[in-house]
Amino acid sequence: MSEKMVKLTINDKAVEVPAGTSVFAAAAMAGIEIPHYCYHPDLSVAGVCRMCMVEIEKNPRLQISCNTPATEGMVVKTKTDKVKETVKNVLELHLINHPLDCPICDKAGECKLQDFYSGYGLYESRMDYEKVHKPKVQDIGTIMLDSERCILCSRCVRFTSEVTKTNELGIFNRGDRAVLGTVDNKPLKNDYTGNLADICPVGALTAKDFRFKQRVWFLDKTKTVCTLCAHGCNTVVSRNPQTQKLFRVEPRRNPEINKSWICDRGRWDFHYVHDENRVPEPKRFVDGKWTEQTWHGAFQTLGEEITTEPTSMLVALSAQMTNEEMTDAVNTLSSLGVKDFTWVVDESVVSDSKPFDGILKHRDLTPNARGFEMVMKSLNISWMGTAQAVEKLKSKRFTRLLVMGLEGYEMPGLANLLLAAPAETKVALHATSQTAFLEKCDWILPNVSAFEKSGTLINAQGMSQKLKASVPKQFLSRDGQQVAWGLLQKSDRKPLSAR
Amino acid sequence: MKLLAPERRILTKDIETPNLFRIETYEAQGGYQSLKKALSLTQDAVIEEVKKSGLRGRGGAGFPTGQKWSFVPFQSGKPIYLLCNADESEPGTFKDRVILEKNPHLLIEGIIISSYAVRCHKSYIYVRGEYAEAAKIIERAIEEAYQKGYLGKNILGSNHSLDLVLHRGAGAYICGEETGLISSLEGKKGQPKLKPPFPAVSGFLNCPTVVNNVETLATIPWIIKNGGDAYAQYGVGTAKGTRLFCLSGWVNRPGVYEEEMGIPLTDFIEHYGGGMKDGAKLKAVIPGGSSTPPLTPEEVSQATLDYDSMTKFGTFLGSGGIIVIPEHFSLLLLLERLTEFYWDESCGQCTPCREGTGWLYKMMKAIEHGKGRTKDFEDLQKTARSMMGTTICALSDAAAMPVLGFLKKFPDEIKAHLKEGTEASV
Repeated sequence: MSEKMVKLTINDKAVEVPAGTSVFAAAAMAGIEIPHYCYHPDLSVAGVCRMCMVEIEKNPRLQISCNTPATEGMVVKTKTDKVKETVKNVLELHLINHPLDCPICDKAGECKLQDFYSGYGLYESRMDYEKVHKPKVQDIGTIMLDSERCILCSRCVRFTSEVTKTNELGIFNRGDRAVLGTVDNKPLKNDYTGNLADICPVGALTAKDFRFKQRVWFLDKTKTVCTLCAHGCNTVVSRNPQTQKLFRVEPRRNPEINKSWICDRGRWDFHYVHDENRVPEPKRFVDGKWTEQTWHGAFQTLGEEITTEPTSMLVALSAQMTNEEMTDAVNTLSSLGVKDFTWVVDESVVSDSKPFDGILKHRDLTPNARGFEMVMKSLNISWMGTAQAVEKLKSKRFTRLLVMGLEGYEMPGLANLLLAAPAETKVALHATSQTAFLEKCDWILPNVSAFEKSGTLINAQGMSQKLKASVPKQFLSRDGQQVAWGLLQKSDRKPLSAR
Repeated sequence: MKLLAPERRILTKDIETPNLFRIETYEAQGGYQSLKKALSLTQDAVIEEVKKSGLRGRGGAGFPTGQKWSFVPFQSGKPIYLLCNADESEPGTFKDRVILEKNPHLLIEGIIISSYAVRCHKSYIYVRGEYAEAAKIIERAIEEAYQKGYLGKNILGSNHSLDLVLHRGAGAYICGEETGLISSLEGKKGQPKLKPPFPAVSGFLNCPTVVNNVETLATIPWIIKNGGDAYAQYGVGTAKGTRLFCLSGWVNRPGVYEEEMGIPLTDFIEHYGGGMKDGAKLKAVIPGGSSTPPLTPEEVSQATLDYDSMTKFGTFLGSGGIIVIPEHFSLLLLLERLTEFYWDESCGQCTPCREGTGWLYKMMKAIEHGKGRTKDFEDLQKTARSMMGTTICALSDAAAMPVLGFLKKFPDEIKAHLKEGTEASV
């Protein structure tokens, strides 16, 4: 409220912004796009690409908008002939030594050189001398570097110096011999390397995980959130609509949560979605071997068992479930008479509200521990802590254990729970993947991954966010809501209240 | 206008005195008396005197010195730094070297007075790496000044203290640009910084910083001794005082000569340079260091050595490096060398300069090697224009200006070497 505001005019549009805002940012707020390569909203200003030139009244020289503070009464024009001509000329200089290898470049389709050439260039190339040659196909860890494509915008250098503070990258030499490289040719070493491929406006830095896998224009995008820790980074997930396969997870800017970044784990762990280690169909351990079952059979048998002896069962809900899954699971199972609930989570870290690395990563690897607490409180149902659950399992208080909503291979807290259960305890596991504890189980029910379900999650900061399915359900998997209603109805009829 | 009488010289009157670089000799010539006078004045009075003198920066840009000093926020609570720019790198410029090597105490006295005026207690002389001899001399002079109490704590019993440090560059043209110099001094890659913030507000180590050229600072003791008004008696119009001009090229007596601003260029070349070597015919003169556009013989005959006259002919007084080019010298070779220089020295930060300097050089190299094509003429002009006013610092403009200047004023010589053709080669 106390922030001082300044009024200015950009392309005849009145804009009011906090004092100190750059003309570039003010234009962005007004929905006016200014071409740029080096500017990035979450990095310091470098002012080196010289593309964001604008005309400012009473100033004979064009100014770069990224480093010009908006002032009261300023009159800015971003599309005059003088601006367009200058931007075109600067763009030409960006491209004279660029290899123009779009057909074999992975960035094609989302490359800012291509975009701005269409918008501001469209000239015949004048430069026909031998281009400057620089090293290509350089392996710098998770990322490949092509120095010839690099336009030396320094975004990546600023990222490693300002965000990860690991300083692996630098620009070496000067003039048109300047090249991007890693210090002493050592590979990148931080947990956020994938962001370098995102912020590279051209095809100089490409992620090994994605390059040559798919042309970007074949991909459909879904806005969702990451579920691999309690931070709840906002993401965009890309899938090929023909093959229905996931290809990429990228950050989606949210200044309050993850700025423009995600960690490498959040970016590249999605492969398990299509992994052969997924649980393909319900299975039951009968006569010393695993046998395939139908969902109908599973619901009938398990539902019957719960109804018969509800108080001998402990239900453990993974903090990976959405609020909706948890609500339905608790409601339906309670109505069957179940009284004892616990959660699958590492309780020692759930109270951390801040990332342990000062960037994004949380020790709590579940996305919805806060959600679990809220759901249980809102339903007025008490739950036992993990230590108590372990004690009670060991003392044979329960003869049955149902663990719901597990995702991935290693769930913190799961091992303690399963190892605490005596051999005679009947264990049913609702999980995406085959864990190391299958021998402890009697039933295994295929769970959907977070990429296959929608719902609400509450992150460590207490912000509730939407999770949105980006691929169809894989194999015969069912989400927590479907399992809850199936158990209640003891049949595979699709319940009316779930989706 | 009459030539400057030797006894009226401001900077070089005593320059030939043997052992002037020794502090005893300098003191015997009246050295460090201005410092005593300055310390008896208020700091603002010193700034006022410099403002009155009309002194403009001698590094090349010609910004009024007193005005530059008054931009410093004296009450910011941060330390204030005064940096002496001794990174004289513009081809054709070698005037600061004369002061550095022959009269280092004049510079040091100027620095102490200026530091007093701008409330600075730590100052650096950034000398270009190639000036190894000058560095040795300055180092020793600083030591002498400390021993005599002109540097250090409570200078001459006053409240003013100053530490002065000599820093040698590693040989980059761009470190003579004031913010490039600051980056280099901070231990970073020598690259200019974005403005705003301006160095006066946030420069060296993000503190208020004044960067002044050697010649500028060396002028300060005279101004304090004789008064700003006396200094303003020299020169013409907006060009007050004298300047050290560096005369090079096809003349009989190349060298550094102090002259009052406003005198005719022809008189200067004739009198000091002893005219053209071998009686050669004049083709062109580069008036202010290699980045300034040239003058034709016709323009040379009308030009006077001051800012306004140069502006009239589309060029600048720059760093005072006057390069005389004879009729027989190839402008193609000259431009090839110049474009190569700026291509080599571009820091590579801003795209127009990084890419443009290389392209200009490729084109000039091809033309010089007889492989120029008609299209190159226009391409040279268009590329050079794209480089003007589009970068952080002026190196890009410095590379483009001579190309545009020579193409505009000597189109026939360039065009005569261009052929119709399509094949590009270097």
